[in-house]
Amino acid sequence: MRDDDDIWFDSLAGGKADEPEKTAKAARAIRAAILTRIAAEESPVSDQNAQRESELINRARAAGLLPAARTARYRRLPAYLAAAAIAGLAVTVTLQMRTESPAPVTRGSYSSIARIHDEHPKELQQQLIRELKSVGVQARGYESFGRPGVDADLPIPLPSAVREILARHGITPPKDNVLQLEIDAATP
Amino acid sequence: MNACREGGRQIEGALRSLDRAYFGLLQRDCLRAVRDPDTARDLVQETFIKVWQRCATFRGDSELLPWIRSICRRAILDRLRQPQREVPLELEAGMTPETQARVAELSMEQVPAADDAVKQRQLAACFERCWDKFMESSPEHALVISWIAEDNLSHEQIAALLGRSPGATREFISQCRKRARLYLADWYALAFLEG
Repeated sequence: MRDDDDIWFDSLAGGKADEPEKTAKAARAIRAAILTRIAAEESPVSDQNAQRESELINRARAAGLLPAARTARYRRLPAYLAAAAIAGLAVTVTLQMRTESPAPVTRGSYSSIARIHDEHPKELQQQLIRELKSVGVQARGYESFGRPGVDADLPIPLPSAVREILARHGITPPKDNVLQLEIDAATP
Repeated sequence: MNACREGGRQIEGALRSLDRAYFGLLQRDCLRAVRDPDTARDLVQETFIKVWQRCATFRGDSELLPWIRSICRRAILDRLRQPQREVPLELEAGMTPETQARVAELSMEQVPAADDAVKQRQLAACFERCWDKFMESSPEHALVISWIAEDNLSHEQIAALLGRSPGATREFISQCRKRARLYLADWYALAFLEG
């Protein structure tokens, strides 16, 4: 059996216009007032706003829906620059192999520090922190001998969203889920 | 939505199209709920991201806008629920004796007889004031009432929006009615008693 609440609800939703009860009249009046109010509002304009669209794209990127901007930038590199970058990397690796490199520095952990290279280490550090935070990981930035670093305790088991972020930046997931990463400036 | 399902390079363009097509409409919905343009913008963008994440669940046989709107409305409710806890309201709780008297007098109500322009404007202004107070004090209930009126929502649709069982949804709707009587009491009085 319909009670007063049902009558009120049906009338508010536009049903049974001939409902005689006072409850129905009150609900119909509310409905009419709400619809009048909405009709009086300015019509929404489907405008184009470049800044707003960029915000959305960045947000989609941070949520992992789009590949990082860095990847796109690399994709556009001319062939001669790419060749120069590879040559530079080869020289760096050769030099490092000839020099006795010290053991990796550990900060209160037995895990080793991962290293990656990028043309813009500071920017990449901030981007990584942002991306990790967007999926709930408390990432901290630090600097060691002028090298920007990222330090984060990753959840166990490693969520796919975090795994995707790491993969996108070419970072191997740490075995003990403690991420310690330092970014060297890539040799042009 | 095809670009969404297929992924790949079209995603960025499709997101921009989504923004151009629906931002204005959704922003208006959000502004009605949160009153702050920046928060409304944030909510709309959050909605677009959720649309993208859930595109696999979109059934092509239904219309796109109502589906996007339901996601937006859930985002609005989630945002409203963040800082405050819902407190059940008894009909008489918080009512002044004058308000209670007015509500009691509603039993003598008549169909609104605002037959002249001045009365119409007075009624509209009074509703505006009462509604603002309602939105401020009990936004979740006021919004659900306006969505029922605007889109003729069913109990099932409201239950899905609120994430409640059918029984809890009925209780929520009953609370909506009680709160409407409380916050719209002045407007009721003007609309029904002075006809």
